[in-house]
Amino acid sequence: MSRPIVCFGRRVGAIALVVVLVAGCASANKTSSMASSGSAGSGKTASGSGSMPGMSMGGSSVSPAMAANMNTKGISVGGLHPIPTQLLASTDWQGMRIEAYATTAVPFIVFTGTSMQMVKPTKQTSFHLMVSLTDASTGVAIPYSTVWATIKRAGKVVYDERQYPMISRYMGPHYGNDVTVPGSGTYELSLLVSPPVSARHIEYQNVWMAPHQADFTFHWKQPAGM
Amino acid sequence: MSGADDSKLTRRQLVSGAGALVAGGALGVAGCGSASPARPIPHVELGSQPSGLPARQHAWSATLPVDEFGNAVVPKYDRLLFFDVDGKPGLASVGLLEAALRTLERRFRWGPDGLLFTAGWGPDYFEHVLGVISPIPKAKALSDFELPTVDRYHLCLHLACDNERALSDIEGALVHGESLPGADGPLDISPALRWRETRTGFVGAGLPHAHQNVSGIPPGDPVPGGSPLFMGFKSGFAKNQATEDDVTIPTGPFADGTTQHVSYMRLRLDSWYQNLSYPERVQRMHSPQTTPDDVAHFTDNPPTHAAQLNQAIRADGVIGHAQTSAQARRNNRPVIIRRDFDTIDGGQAGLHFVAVQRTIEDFVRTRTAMNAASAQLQNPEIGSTVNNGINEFIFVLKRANYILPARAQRAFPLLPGREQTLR
Repeated sequence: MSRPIVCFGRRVGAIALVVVLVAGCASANKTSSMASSGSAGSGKTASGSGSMPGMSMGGSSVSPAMAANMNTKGISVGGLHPIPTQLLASTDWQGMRIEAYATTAVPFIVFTGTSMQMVKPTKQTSFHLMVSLTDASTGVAIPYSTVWATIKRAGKVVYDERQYPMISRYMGPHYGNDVTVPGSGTYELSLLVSPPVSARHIEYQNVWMAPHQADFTFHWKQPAGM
Repeated sequence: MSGADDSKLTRRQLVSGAGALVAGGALGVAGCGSASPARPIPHVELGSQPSGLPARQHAWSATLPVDEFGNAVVPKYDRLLFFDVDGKPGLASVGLLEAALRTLERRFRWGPDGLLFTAGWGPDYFEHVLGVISPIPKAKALSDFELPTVDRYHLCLHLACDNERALSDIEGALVHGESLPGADGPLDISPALRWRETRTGFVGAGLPHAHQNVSGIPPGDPVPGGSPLFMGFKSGFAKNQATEDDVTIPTGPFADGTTQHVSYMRLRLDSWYQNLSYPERVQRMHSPQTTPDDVAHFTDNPPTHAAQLNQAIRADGVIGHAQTSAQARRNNRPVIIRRDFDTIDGGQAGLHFVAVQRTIEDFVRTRTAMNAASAQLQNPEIGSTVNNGINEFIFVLKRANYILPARAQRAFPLLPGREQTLR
């Protein structure tokens, strides 16, 4: 049975994802507790923290979509093997789960209008940031948003980029970009999540109507050799 | 009133503008809530005004030199000083501020080789100090991908000239009562106005190149030597600005005035310079129909290709900043005058976007056009911050609106009884 669709005066075209990960990012790490929390609301909320091996985390967890792929062994994409992915931070906003993952930096392709461009990590790239927006109750990915990530250390901005809308075999639709931070340490991560620009089924009629900022703290331990 | 930041600079850092710029920028902010003990406001002589000064504070254009194509060459250095009114203002407050501004007018010739300045008043001055309806709205976020702090300062002084040291000296005199060489009248406004924040910057060929070793600019000195702004392109072409007549309020208590929007945005130019070729940067700054050869031959009226926006959306999958912003034109002219300048405040590449326009709505229309939020509904390859002009390279941190009264009304506008003080 079809459900009514709410349209906010905006007509949506086809799939809006413009970036494709060349390498997948499944994780072999199993779940554990997450030390982050958040609250629904508007404006700036949420405070969570996480860390990861390679990033010195106390624990990590993965999304349902990722979990479904975790047990896959021996998969490679473009000659690269699945890359450990850990949860960096997580919070909820009006029923949207906002999760930030860090993975080993990977190349990805960006469509620049009429052409494609490969973005390759450099030797200095610290990790690939993946921001997942999902319905907190169903785990279904929420596309058509805009995510801007700002990372500070001791109050100084060290990374400040919008995240590309992106798809990958292991994460599905998400938002991501490669990140360079200046070495091991404690960092503050802010994610500015914009209202998804799309028609909406009626259950989403009154949520995510204004930009929302989620703030976290994470610990990064630079892997040996970087 | 609250400002944007609680970070503090020492007074020495604050007044050493030239050194601060070179050393990584000065984003001076006074502590919030540091109510100073009430000081008696001295009654000072107003002093004379040089003859021939324009009635409009924002009348800068006639003083500016022009290049071979008639494009104005704007002042090289800018400084924004923000204040709150200390306590309940009286007529002595009016006299103190007006006398200080007249001292500056006598000390410096009106022009970039001397000094240009404006005094702008924010909504909180009208609503909370005077208790009247503000003639301008409070600023707000102007896109879905920004969540700026809205400044609530009462007064914004915008100073501009070609002599950076002079701006530093003027600030020291206005805020700290330091002596200003050559000045012959009162300058210290601190008894009436509590300084809250200073923002500094520069614009002009060579200056961004010389200041590019900061966060936000990738290594390798990518900013071209001749560029007036960090992004490597020129702006403010003669016919790509509103005229001062266009932006002037024609009637009412603020006749001969204008409105001002002041925002602060971080620039993140790593991918701008590292992932995009020069032709691709041309596309994003101007339009996909614009070529590098076109840019090399711009004179005073670069084509915006505004009429080809839909074609760009559908066929090119990328749209240009000038192309989208031009959708807000009136009679084929922009409705704002840009008086923006780059900054390295806080050791961070940024832009202080100052614009004057007849109404704040004119600015909002221009910024909304620049967002081109509906483009992705025609072509999903163009998101709010993907393949969409320069939106992905600027991150708005602060916004504020002010009104710039006519010169005769610039000191505490609408304060009852002010006219008799100024007779």
